[in-house]
Amino acid sequence: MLLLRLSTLVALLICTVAPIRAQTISRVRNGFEVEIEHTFTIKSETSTLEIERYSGDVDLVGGDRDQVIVREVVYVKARNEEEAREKGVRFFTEIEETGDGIRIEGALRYGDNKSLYVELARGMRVFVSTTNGDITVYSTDSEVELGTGNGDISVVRSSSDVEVRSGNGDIDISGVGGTVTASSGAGDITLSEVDDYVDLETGAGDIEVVRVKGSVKAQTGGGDITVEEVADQVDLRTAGGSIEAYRIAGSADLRTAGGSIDVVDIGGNLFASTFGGDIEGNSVGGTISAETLAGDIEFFNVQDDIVVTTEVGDITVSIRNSEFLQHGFVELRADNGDVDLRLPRNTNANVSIDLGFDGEFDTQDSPRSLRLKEMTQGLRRGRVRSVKGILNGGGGRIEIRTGSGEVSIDASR
Amino acid sequence: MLNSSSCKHDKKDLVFHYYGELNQAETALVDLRLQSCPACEEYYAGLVSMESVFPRTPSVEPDESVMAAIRAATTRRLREREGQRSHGIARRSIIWSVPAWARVSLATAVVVLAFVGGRYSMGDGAVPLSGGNDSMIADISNILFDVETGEVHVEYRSIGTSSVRGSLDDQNIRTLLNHALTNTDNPATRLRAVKMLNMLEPEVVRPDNELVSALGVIIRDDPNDGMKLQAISALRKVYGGAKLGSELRDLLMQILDTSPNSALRIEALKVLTESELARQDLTRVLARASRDNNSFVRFRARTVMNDLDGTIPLEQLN
Repeated sequence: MLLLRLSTLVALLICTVAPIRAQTISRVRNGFEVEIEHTFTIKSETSTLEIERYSGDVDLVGGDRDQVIVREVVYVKARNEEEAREKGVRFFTEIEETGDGIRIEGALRYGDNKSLYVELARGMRVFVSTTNGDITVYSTDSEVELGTGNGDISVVRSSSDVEVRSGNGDIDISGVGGTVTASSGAGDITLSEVDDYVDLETGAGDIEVVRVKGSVKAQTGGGDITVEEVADQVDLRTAGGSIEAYRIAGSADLRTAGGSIDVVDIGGNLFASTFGGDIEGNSVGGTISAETLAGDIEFFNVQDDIVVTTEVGDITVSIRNSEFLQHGFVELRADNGDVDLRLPRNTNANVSIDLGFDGEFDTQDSPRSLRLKEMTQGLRRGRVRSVKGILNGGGGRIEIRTGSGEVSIDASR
Repeated sequence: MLNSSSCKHDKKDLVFHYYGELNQAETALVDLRLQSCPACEEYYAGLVSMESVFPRTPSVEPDESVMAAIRAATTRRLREREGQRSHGIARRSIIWSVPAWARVSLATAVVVLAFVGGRYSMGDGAVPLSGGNDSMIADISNILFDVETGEVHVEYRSIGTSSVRGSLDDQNIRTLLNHALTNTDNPATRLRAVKMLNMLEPEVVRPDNELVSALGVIIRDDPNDGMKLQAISALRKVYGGAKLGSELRDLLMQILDTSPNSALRIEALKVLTESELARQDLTRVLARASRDNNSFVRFRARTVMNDLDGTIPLEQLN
């Protein structure tokens, strides 16, 4: 009884801090939902909403007024409305007006089942930290910093920087005018339409990024990464998964401990590395460096110097415009696999082919094959083990090696 | 049972050494190896003993009549062998149980075959195809998978190049794939076979002990971590969630425990947690995984624990 009186007193004190504007009750399931709403007028143009240690879902919606509306819904088990109202008052979270905004601090009570809805004042910065529950933010016009121990986070339209952390949940962000920093202990991260740089990290999940005007850095402890339409460079790493990067204006640094790598339309240089998996690319504007321990490597429409290596697997490289080969180089090495190089007929290059122990150079006189001039062959026990020659007048360097595969040099289509 | 191969050194170096085609530094390295590796020493002794049986003569290009005779002789020998061999694991144990000189003879025969086939391939010798097809496999040259029809197309060399097309239920296809996976001297062929298996949808694949065993050999013996990774991924497709053999289970646990490559550990854990494991084995797996330094592995372990309705308290695992 004494405890009940004390609780009521505390609730009354809270009410003095945050005057109740409205309270409604509705019956649900085996109890009641008690809803309470507070309205605050904010004078500062740079106000702040702080939510600390809240346990429950949080929805924030940006506003263009100088008012903040806080609405909290608490589920309580009760026999009637009067009992529900009494319990609801006890469970409502403390809300405090601070010098420059609003502070809401939850209590670490078990058994609470509540959620919070806040309509933000114009230009209000947001700092939210919850122990449990999802956080959703719509249309804010200032800095957003969100963290939850166990829940999903979603941000839709923010004109400023966004920083989010989830211990275990998925993160979904779209339409951000500033930078994005997001991390999850074990969830997927999905991101789209960001105007500045992006830094993403998840311990165990997939990452998907679409349309970013800044650079992208993404890392996962074990999952796939897909990045599309980035106006700057990308740096993507996974400890076990595949990587796909499409339409990247800048350079691309892609590394996976195991998985395939696919790229299309990379404006800058490409570095791609995987322990086990294929590497495929089309239209890379800069230099290419790619390596896999076990997998095929295919690059089409190569436009600059290229060095690719696979210990086991085939290599196919196609070059449509070989001007870079006047002074540039192509190095293709498949320790165990075939190498197929396709070049324009007017390519000028010096060609050197190392056939290792068991490689073969395809010298069939087909309409597509390119003939080496001034060809010399190195023999070992009567078998051709190396070939040298020039294409047209000679020029840049083409070096090919296979330990046990076939090498062919044909005209590109 | 997995196949056994005690020495993983590249035997080609020994052949080069024997014919004096290595430079000074390479020769010194091989000399060192011969002092420390009994298998290499035995192999080399076989090469040397060949000298007394078949003294070296200047290299000559045989004319077409000689080549035709070689083809005929090789075909006859391969067909004679057809009745003596089963496929897969037993085949290899036969090869490695013969004396070194005989191995060299066999290798010589296959090298001859390679001249005929136009490409070097030592492998395990020829394998008979079942179903009344008397073709013999000397080398798998290509493997293609039609994602629309689900058919597998395998090109192989026997006397000349042949190909078969069929679903994975086709015993010929399975025999060829098994041969491709266990062809120890052609990693590119192994990779093609493993990649083809990786393209399959697990629900449409009938569990196949031979393929599982062949993949197990790659996982255990292949020196290339990338190949191991591809093989573990393929294992998930062909074992069909069936009960793992103890040897394969221990192998995957070892990878989970010791591999520095996180992708390998992740794939190993996936196979282990998706297969039928005895409860105490699963507990061991989860206990190890929950202490892994990779976040995905730790998360996966905890997720599986949750799926077990919390019957294994986390405190017991840490």
